[in-house]
Amino acid sequence: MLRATFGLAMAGCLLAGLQGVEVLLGAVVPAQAVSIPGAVAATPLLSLGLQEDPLSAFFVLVLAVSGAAISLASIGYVDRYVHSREAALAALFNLFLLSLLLVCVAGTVFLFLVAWEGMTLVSYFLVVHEDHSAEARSAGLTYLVISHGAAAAVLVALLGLSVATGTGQLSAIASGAGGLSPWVRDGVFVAALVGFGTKAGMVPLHVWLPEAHPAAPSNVSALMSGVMIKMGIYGLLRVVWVLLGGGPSWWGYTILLFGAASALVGVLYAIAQHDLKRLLAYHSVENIGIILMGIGASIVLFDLGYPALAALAMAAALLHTWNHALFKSLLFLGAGAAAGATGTRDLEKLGGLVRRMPGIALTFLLGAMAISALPPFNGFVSEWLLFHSLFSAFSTGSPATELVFAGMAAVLALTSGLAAYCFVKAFGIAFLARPRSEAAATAQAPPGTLTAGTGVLAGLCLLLGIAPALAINLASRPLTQMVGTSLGPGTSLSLISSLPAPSTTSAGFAPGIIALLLGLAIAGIWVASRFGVAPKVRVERSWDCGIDAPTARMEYTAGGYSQAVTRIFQEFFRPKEDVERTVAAGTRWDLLTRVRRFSEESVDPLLPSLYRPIRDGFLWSAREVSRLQSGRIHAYLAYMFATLVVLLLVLRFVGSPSP
Amino acid sequence: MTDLGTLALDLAAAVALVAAWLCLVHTRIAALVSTYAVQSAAIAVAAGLVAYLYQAPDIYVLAGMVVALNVVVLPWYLTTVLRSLGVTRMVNMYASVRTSALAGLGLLLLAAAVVGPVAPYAAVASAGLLPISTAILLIGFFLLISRRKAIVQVIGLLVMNNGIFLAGIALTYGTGFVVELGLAANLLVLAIVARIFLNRMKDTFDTVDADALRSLEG
Amino acid sequence: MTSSLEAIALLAVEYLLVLGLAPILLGIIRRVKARSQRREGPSLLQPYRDLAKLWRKESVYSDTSSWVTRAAPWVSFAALLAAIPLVPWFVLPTPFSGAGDLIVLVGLLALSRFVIALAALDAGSTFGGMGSSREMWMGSLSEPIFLLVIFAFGAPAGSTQAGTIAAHGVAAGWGYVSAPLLLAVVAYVGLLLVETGRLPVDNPSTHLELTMVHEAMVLEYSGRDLALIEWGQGVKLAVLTGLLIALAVPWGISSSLGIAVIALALALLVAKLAGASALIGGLESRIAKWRLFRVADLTTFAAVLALGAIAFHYLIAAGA
Repeated sequence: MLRATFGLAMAGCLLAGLQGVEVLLGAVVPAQAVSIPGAVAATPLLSLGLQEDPLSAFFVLVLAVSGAAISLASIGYVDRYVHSREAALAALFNLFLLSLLLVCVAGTVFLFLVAWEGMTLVSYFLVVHEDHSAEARSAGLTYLVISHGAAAAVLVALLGLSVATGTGQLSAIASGAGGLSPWVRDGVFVAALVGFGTKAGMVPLHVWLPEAHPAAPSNVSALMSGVMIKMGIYGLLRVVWVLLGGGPSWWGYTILLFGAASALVGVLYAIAQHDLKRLLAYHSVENIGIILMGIGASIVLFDLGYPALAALAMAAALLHTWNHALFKSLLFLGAGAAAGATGTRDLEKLGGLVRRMPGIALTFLLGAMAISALPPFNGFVSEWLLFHSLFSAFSTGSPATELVFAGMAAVLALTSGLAAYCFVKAFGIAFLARPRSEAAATAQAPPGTLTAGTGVLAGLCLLLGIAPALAINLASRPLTQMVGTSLGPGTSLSLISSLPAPSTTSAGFAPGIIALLLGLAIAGIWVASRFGVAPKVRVERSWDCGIDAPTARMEYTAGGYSQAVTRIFQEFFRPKEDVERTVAAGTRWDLLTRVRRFSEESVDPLLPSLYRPIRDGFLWSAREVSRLQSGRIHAYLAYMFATLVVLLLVLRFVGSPSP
Repeated sequence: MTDLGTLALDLAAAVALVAAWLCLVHTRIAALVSTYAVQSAAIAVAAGLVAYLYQAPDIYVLAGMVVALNVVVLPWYLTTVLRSLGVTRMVNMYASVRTSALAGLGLLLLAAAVVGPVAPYAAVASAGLLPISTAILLIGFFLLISRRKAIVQVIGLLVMNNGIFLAGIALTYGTGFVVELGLAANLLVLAIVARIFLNRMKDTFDTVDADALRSLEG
Repeated sequence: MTSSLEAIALLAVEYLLVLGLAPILLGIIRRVKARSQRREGPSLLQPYRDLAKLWRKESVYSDTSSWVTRAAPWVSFAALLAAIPLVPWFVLPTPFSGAGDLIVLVGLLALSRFVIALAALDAGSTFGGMGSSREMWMGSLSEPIFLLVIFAFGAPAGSTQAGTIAAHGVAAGWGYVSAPLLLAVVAYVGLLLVETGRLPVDNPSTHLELTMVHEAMVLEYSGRDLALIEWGQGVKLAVLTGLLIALAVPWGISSSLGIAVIALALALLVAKLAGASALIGGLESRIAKWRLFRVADLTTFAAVLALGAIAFHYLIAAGA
């Protein structure tokens, strides 16, 4: 049964993906109005309709590829590791995919909003699937509340546009939005950034993300982190680029700065996490930051009058969107296998899994290298493009832009360096060395479909890293749709083709050649190692300074590993350290301390400083409002009467006179 | 293409700037003193170059004075004082090394932004001289306010003095006024150095010979 | 325009040169340090003998280790080998320069570091974990510096391609030298010390596990794997030093394919590399190892220098 359900999901994803590729390669899908039989005749604002323009198609493709792989992996995952209400999970999973698809292809404001809300609601039920755990329930609540705040902002942005242009069709809004006053445009931009930024996990609106993503079953986490947060990016691109046609520089700088903050905050918090899935969730914040940096840079460059450079930055953003969807889905599935097989997500209790699940270990490692932006993987390609679009600011002749972009490049480099640090820790502690707990030592190999799903994604990460021209070609129509130009003729499907660089920067990167060089070098070492007599190979115990039989207790811990970074970013982390000492009786010396426990906890500083006042404000107003609840029927009737009178007055004095 | 002389001038100024930044990251006072000497030497070279390039022989005097005073005498004096006082050799800071270094960068940006528009009016053709000298001045000031020990504050003052000197050369080379200004500023610094040291000695080291101090007070 | 056959021949010369010279650069540094300590020091050829010895010795693997340990030295060395053509050594335009720019070079160095740091965790020994954590930490701090330095060097030439920057320098002659270049070079030297694990940052000749960074990381390696890692250290040093030479003092690099010109350029390159190694050795014997967390101060300082160079270029030099 599960096989059939998820198989169906996979087939659906593949079909949608094919359709997406077709559109990206040039097919034009006419917009289709949808009418619900028996429904009230739609007003322009409430009309339903579907459209699949290149931008939609690109995100459909992103969704479809990850969705298909995740569906494949879900067959084994749900069968093995989910022990309650598998049917509900499977059904909701498919509904979730459907809502994601609808968000991408919605052609009217109304349908978009319905799909958007549906996506949030369905994913809420998926987050609280394991509702026996208080953590999941609390995470779900946080997610629901913040998502609705964000949905309100989305509502304001889209309805604002819709009302201002007098149409509910997204395509019609695009043609009407040019004449709007700057105030309306700025207002729509801010609302869109808040609303879509929250869904994407932009700092400081990200707090729901590291709660909700780990709480859900891992296949759902993969879908949420890999695909759902990209819908925030889709919405932002749709509103800012397609509907508003770009904007002033300050929009770009704003997005750039929020992006840089997200990237840095995300990776720093990821390093401090010891929960494998939370760690991955914070990395989603980081990668969304990188994508946002690309979008911000493209707006700035476009406004300065360099559409070719803007296209480069936007290509980086689009490519990174896809890349992140691939490797983050892969990593969450891998983490799900590890957590499912051992029953824990705590890095300090994992270890040695490379022997128990070699397939998952290998694919997780490939994903980790991709997200750490190492060549020859796809993450490196998109970051290379972004570095180049930041570097290309030197040709704009605006010192402020040049300096800001150089600083942003440094932030991006620091981020990818720290990401590599974090993933050495995550992979090394979880998969290498000795198991740190009984559960890890006896973990069962994961089901085949799960490994197959991660394998497909890992293969794609490598493929898009070696031949990114494939992805760039597919992104060319959305680029033209948004920025008006694509990346020029440097792109071809040849495997070793250079990535195009704008004419102003004469720098090239041929990922295929780099991969070839790596392969040749390894082959060369192999040939060299065949020469002469091969020396003996011996297997011994690890070096332990003469201590007998090293144990897992002597291994470096996740906390110890990350300490180097938490230490120098102390001001940022403000870790709560807890040192507990028991001193031997009759002495006061530190040296004679008997027991010493050390625990460290790092709380997201945004939680108390930013969110608590908001929460307190809500609670206060709720208490105030609750005074109205007297419980007497007359009071309620009086409220209704008062409302009626007020509405009549509003109609008389504010509303337009009816004919 | 810039000529070699102006290029050398630029490089000397850049060395002085790097030295000023280095002053912000040193944690040992001895290193601070020798970096100050290096900076002074770079500034003397810059002065000599200006004298040569713009045929202003009186600046040679100024350069020689910098060599004698800022490169040789003051560092030597500071080193002996450091040794005789037996102050701990570490720099105590209000701002951490990393904050200080970043502040140093910010001060260069500030200097470039503020002085940039007037830089073309400087008498010397080197575009970097004026912003760099302003940055050095500001960095010296920052050193003065962000460090705890009097001797380090004195070095901050000396760095400021170097900045003023360089700015003076960049703006109005070859006038007697600059010579006077430079001389006066240096003398002033010397006086302040002596004064701060004496006060400091009095405050901190009760065991220092009080008679000797009293004889200087008059 | 070079034909592809010529390009392959030039590439082969580059590989022979770098792989052959890498150990002697380490030898020069050791000799200079020994001399400054009034010791005779080992022969310049000692690193070659060490490598040959290691290549013949048996390999011992930890019983907790996995295929990661076996694969890491190969991948790490291969990444360094792939970085060699990205540096202009003695001829312009560099053969296969289209393969990548300096950002790709940074990526390859990161790859080389990443796999070894993983392998360090594989044996489950505390030292390996410590070395791995510290190495990745330093790597993550040096990466932004590297990028800023690339921007600083690249801004005047308008390219991030090492060959293009060097060609710009050769063409501009003295005009290439400028205050921003000086700042960028100083920043690069700081970066070089961190990236190659030289003295104020890490002591390559230490034998105390607690103070080691790189050495702690490769503690479990022996035999051929260790030979690859040691050789790789030399290659990395050669690549980064060669890059410094190409970016800071590009003059002397050949722009044509005449035999005499190439021979001269090669001789000059060898002399520059030897000189740079001697300078590193001299620098190393003047400074003591720093406390680990001081490294963050060093990288911050280098970042300030590099950003200063960029600001200088855009705000001051460009305005003149």
